[in-house]
Amino acid sequence: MSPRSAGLAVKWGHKNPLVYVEGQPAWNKKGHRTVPSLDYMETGSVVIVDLRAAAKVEQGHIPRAYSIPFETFLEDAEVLMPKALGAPIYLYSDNDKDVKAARAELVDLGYKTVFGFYGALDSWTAAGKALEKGPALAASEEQPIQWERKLGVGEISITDFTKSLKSDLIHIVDSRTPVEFDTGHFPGAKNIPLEEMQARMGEIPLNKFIVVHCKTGARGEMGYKMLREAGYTVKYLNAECECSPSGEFEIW
Amino acid sequence: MKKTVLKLGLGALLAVNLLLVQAVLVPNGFQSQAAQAAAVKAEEMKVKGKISNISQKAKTIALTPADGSFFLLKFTDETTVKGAGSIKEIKADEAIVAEYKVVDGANIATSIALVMVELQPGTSEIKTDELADLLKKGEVVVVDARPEARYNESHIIGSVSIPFAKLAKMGDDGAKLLEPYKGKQLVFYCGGPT
Repeated sequence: MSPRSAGLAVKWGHKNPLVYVEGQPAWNKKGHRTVPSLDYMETGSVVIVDLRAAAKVEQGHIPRAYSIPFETFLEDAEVLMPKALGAPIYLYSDNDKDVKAARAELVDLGYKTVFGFYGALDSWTAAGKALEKGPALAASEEQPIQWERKLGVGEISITDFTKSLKSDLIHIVDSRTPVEFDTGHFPGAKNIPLEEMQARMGEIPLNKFIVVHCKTGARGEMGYKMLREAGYTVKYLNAECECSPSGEFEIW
Repeated sequence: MKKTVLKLGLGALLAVNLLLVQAVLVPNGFQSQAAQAAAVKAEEMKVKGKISNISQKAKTIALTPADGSFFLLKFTDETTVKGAGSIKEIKADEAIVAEYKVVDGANIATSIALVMVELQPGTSEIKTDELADLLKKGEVVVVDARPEARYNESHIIGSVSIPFAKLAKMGDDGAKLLEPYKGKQLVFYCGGPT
């Protein structure tokens, strides 16, 4: 995108615009920092964690932040953090080393979008935003941090999906391979691997509400697009799930 | 939890659709049987687009060509790869050009090539260290060309968000967005060389 933007800048009379081709990944790799938009921290669907000791947190913290002191973070993160590995998580502290270590721990645990929110408190107050006094939000083993992603186009929520499993409302198409299907699947699901879906579309009823799923949502999304183009009423489950042979399942 | 599949938000996808300006003259994956039969006889075809999804397990790539349509491409162990070590290195959000054949209604890739960045006349490249120096001196305006949602998530400190998709959509009115920075050294960046 950036080379094209630079091309437009030339066209509009800007002299020798530069293109940082390597872009953000290289910037981060060399240890340079990036920051989130503060408005996004204020209202976006994100998880913010304050790593400082409780006493400091009480004197002022970013609104909506959870308090997990670094002292116990490495040990507790696994049970306190949200189940969804795709949750955007922002970590901050007054000690950059802690942020770095905490971030590494979460990446290790499989979280895909973890950001160090460096300089969080200074940038917050510099932008004229107020810090909150008193204790921040708390998470516990019984009540881990809750985070639910906003649904994108064509997605069915985990709640709706689970509810409709008990009814005849939906026709489930399992787009995984037969081997994956045989290790366990949703009750009543029909197995049509993504790679066969085009050829076997005739087996999917046009007059039913179709939900496509796979293990993670990726193949489900492709199946969804394919069926939508073919005129089906269809949604897909954009979540990770695991089914046991006995018909029990877990979705997150 | 290792995952072989990389995903991209649909919103971001819709925004990048605009980027692939070159026309792509290919049938989509949902043509009639007759058309498919004809296609088998035709020469090997080409498709260019941005990867919206790639599943190593199902050996399938979902492409978004320039017209915003949906194109499903399958690869095999015989598919050759250019610009990357192997197909496993190819990730969502990258632009590719693929040659493919239609076999039994499926688009089977014979070759997949990553589309490399081409600098346009009158512009030049800047490396990480040089940019860090310029930023320290405060002599530049860094423009984040990615979709706004990506900017919100995380951006170079001090950069401003002017998504390429927005500029391109505005035609010559887009000049107004850059107007405040006339006479300053502009540096554009995005999410890497794709």
